[in-house]
Amino acid sequence: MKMVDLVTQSIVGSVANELLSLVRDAIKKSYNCKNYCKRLEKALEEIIPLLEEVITTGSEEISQLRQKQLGDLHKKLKDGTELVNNCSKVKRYNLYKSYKFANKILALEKYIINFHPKQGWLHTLCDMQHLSVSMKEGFEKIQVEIATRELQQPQLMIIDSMSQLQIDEEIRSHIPQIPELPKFPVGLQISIDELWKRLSPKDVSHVAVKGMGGSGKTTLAIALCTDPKIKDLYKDRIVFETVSQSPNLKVTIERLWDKIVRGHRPDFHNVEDAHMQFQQRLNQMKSRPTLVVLDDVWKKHHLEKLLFKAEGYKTVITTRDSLVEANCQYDLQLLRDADALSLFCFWTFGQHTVSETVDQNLVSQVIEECKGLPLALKVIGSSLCDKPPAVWRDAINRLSQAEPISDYHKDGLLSCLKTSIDILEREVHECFLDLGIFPEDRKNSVAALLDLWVYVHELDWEAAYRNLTELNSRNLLSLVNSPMDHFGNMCGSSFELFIQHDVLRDLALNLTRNEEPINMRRRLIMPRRENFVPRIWKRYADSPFNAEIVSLHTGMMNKEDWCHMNFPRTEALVLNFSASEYCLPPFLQTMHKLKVLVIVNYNSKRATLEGLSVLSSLSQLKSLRLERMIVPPLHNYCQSWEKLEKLSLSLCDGSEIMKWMQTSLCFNLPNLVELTIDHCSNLEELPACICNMTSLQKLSVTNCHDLYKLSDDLGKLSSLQMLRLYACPCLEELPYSICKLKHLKFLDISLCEYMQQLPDEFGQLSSLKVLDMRECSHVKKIPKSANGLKSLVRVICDEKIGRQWTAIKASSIPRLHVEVAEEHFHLDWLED
Amino acid sequence: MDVDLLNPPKFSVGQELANFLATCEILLKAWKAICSISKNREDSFLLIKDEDVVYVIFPSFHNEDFIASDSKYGECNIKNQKIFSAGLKGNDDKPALVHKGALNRFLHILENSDFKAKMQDLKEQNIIFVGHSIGGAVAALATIWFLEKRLRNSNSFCITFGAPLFGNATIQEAIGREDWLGRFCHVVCKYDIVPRMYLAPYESIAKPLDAIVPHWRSKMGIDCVDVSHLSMSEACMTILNNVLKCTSTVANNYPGVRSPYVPIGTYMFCSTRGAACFEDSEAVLKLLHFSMQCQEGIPFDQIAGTCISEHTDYGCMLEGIDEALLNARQFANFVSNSSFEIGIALELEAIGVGAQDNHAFFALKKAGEAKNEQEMNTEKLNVKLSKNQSHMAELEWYKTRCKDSNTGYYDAFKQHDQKKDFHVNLARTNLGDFWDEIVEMEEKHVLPSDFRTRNKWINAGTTYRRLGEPLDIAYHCRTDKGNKSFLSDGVRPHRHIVLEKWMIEKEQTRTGRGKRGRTNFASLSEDSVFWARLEEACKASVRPQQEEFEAYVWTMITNKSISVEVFLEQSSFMKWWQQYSQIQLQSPQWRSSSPLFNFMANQSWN
Repeated sequence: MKMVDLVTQSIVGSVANELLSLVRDAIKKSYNCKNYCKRLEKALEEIIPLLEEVITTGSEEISQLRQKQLGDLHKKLKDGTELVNNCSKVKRYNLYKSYKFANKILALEKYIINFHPKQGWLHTLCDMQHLSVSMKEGFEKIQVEIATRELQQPQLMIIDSMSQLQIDEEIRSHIPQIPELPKFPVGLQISIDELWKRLSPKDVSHVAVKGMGGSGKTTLAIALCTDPKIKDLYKDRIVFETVSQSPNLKVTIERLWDKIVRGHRPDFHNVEDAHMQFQQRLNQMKSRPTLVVLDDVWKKHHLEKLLFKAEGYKTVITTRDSLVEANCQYDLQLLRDADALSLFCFWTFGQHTVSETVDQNLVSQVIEECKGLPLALKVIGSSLCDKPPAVWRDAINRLSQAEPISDYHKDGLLSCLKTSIDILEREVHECFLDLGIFPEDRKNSVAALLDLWVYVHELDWEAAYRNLTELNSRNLLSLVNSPMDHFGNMCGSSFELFIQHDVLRDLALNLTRNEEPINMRRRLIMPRRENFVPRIWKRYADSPFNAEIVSLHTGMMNKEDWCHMNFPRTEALVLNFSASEYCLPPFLQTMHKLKVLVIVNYNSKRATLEGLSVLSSLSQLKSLRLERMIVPPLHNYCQSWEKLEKLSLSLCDGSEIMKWMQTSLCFNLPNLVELTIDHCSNLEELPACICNMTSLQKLSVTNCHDLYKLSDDLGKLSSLQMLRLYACPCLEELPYSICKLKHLKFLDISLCEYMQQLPDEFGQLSSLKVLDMRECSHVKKIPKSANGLKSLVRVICDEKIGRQWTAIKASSIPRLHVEVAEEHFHLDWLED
Repeated sequence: MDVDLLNPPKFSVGQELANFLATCEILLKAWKAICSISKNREDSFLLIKDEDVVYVIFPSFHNEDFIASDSKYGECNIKNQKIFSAGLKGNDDKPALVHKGALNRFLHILENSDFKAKMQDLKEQNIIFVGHSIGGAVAALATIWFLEKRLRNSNSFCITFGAPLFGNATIQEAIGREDWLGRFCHVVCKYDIVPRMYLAPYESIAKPLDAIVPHWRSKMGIDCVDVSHLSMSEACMTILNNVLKCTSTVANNYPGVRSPYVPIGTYMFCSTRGAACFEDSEAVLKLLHFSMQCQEGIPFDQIAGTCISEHTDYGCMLEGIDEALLNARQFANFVSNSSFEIGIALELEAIGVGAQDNHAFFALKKAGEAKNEQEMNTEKLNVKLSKNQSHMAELEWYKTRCKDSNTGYYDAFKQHDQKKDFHVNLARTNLGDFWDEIVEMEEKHVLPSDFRTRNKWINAGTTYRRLGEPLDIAYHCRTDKGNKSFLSDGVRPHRHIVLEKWMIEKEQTRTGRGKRGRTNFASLSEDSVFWARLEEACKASVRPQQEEFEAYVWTMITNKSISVEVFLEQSSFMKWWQQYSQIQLQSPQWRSSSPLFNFMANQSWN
């Protein structure tokens, strides 16, 4: 039945069009009936668009009566075409025929003109009736939905309350579809423009706004919908749908149908059916600009069911996760300082600037803690509204200790963010909680994090790395791509550092604190404080602490500053401090199970380390990292480190390292797998004893600007798989013996400014897979033997030397991929 | 040299240049002006205005001018006379030599005529200095003298006909450095003896010249002396023989004592077949020999005659060139795909040497390639310079960031304990490498002769030196084990010494205008080794040395040529000052007499 209708309608339309073109033709040819034809043309031009609209929008069944009328119209139009056809054939002097045709044309014109007004108002009334019935059904359904679900979304509540008011049909048609913009939006225009820039290209069907909880994604989406430019373009075809964590997708699609298709909605069997039917209908409909906002989408499979493709149909998604391909993603930036200030002031003082009654300093300290997160600014700001300075100071104190400053803070901010965490799998959830052990506002070493997960949580490397990327994709931490894109550790990570938003760190800390009592906690974390040890901890000094992971952030520490504590189960200890002198805590002795020890100094100068004797008890130690320290000779203490697998020394004094490793004939770490020496000045030569560590698989001596010589015995490292020597500008050559490293897979000599050549026997490195030699501008020639590098698959180098590699690829290593790297400039290095 | 190949030169434009010169009538006008000089004006110069050009003509044919007998080739040091600036020197310290006869003549004119005053009137006009024979050498000296005044809006040019070589390689370097070589155009006839004459020692040519000069004088209508035909032809043969011996020594690079003179400027060789211009000094020197070679079928005595007669025949020659230009040239047995080589062959045909002369051909080819290489090298350096600006920007950022933390970038880099110190060290080595390369190239003469006076490179080098050298000093202080001062021999990187020298030389040639004193403190201390001096003062135990440093700092402050970053709280300078002022305050009069004390106490840099 329905199909027949459609056919009739479209036939009527096409006949009308045909007639119009004939009439236009006749105007040109016919002499006598010209004027009449022109009138007919005008009438047709008026009716054709109406007919077309009937065709495209008409989705309901058409009543018998109307079918008949349309049929009549069709017949008349058909006659008309014949008429006009004949008319144009009439000879100019045949006055009689001309007169006859003219009359007929006039009659046709009159019919067409009258067709619409005659029954028009009745039709409209009919339609209204239909509409109101279907709407009523729709609302009832929504009501049922609401009743069966938690009321989470504000705009649903609006609908709910309104339908209870038994609003009449007229008002119903004006139901606000888009939530109101929050009070005092700041810094949105740039984001709107940026978002629109990504969305507007014709081939883009959807863009996801990604950002952490409370960063203003929804606000941006609302602002986009209310932007005058957008409103102008999409008129009433802007749809705002909140999806949330556990949506009823079928209902959502039904609502989209009602708002976009607006006709009779068939019953859907399930979500798949709904998706399919909706997409089909979209394909049939005439394309019109439509903007759909899917707010707060959590899962990829939710999104898949809600994305539709049609010309002019665009979808904006807000999400905390990476759900779409990167080029469709818009990463929402946090607020800039000025915007953050005005937003904070609005919520705190109700004005744009800092109120004179409050110390400017306090304000900026609080704002600093919020790190440009709009939600944090709002919540913390309103918590401090009308509060005396003492409360402000207390708040700053609490914030720096990652404690909630008020219930509102806890509920409004932390629980908002907590939703992001709750959906994580248990394993990833645990990993997230570990993030609290690193200090705020710092770029932290990814390797340390992975060590922790591998050695303490006993994940394998792949899983640890997977968790890392998952947290990254969920915006719960940000990996900092090392600008040079060095090929990183063996798992293939090119990331060396990560940063974490303060608010998320606070959340992690908060979640770990929930476990009580203190000595039963799995993670014992003390955010930065000068005078060590919270009093409450001392209360448990006698009984053993249960913590597996301990993190302490202090200032300068003397031996007396520490108190006795017992950590029999601790496997990882992170000591952060900012001082020029530091005494290791005596309770290190009690940590018999310690596997991971990270000691990082955040002062601008290197610190001297004392109280070293405690180190000799660490017989289970697997990973040791020291940063920015004058490492004293440790040979007296490292004898028991038989299980040590990883040793990392960063920003330390190289001459001290030399002393340590040279003086000890027994620098004996039989299981050392990975040795990293990074950013160590005054290291002029690589200690010879390193070459005796045959277990070593990975050796990184990087950013050592005074290193001018590698040991000739380097070739003894028979297990070595990875050798990284980047940014050692004084290094002029590689020792010939490296050609003996049969297992070497990765070699990085990039940024070795003065490297003159590669050894002639270079081609003997039969396992070498990747070679990074960019910005080695003095290496002019690849040794001939390089033809023999059969395993080589990737070379990263500069343009000049790249030509030689390409020649080698052509002649003997077809699998080789030569990447010519552009010199890359950036200013990230300015921030330490 | 770089691995990648240089593009060979595409064209050789010597002939087109000659065609242009020959057709634009300046040469003819200049020659006519020379012919108009009469006997009574012989001691002085002549001014002729023609449209908007002023021709300044110098006389020629004084016996005593030709033969300056007090040295082997008649040369003398230009420094003996104070009329030229100190900037007229080579890149090393070899003496600048010119022909004494020409110099004396020029001095004579300068002192005994209104030449200086006239020149003063002529500023802001187009001036062409013109001279024939030895007068040409005088005109060239006058041009140098005038160019050194560096008048704005004045445009000077020098045209000579049959002029002898007048200056040595040092003069050539000095002129090349200023990019003035293009302002000299020497027209030379194929067989004219005079341009080659001074390649031979004076005693071998003095006697024949005695006979020949009167002949020329009469030819030019100055005197009317009758010279016996017999003695003339004998003189001609002798001089040609003697000169040829010497030119072949030069052209074939045979060992032996060489005349100091080299061609300076563009040489336009003319023959009955056409003309071509050459710029490369070495190539011209060879062409001076090859073009005078005897050709088959022409007896030697006839050539000897031509050698003398062509010297006064420039008028005919110039008129002949117009005609020769219209004739198509053909050459036998020459095959090449390169338009550059064909161009050279055509040039050689035009000047009557012939494309088949391999020596001349390769000399020109080599010269063209060398010039091309110089230009290509400059282009490459331009690209590199712009890349290295990013490193400079990194240094600037580093400096700014260090300033924010109240430590100057010098001291921050010296401590070297932050990651950014490491990073900036990479930029430092990169930049050092880059400038080392430039200095090395310049010293190897693979860059254009005026490279080191180009503003772009002077400015880039100076900025680099001021920003980068403090880091080099800091690096030295941090890593130096032997307690050697940065300023002691062989420690300060050669690039900084050279760049500073370039800058100072350029400063000397800059006109005094626009040099106003500073009103604000410099953002970079103008003396790039300030920190090295400070380190020395810190180490110095003797008071006089420290006081010397105080005085030095005070002059920098009064010039405002010191950067205020020196006065940052954590800087080494402030540490030195605290110690030093403590000691000095023990003597009571110091407080009142030291301006620096006042300055520091009031923190007057703010």
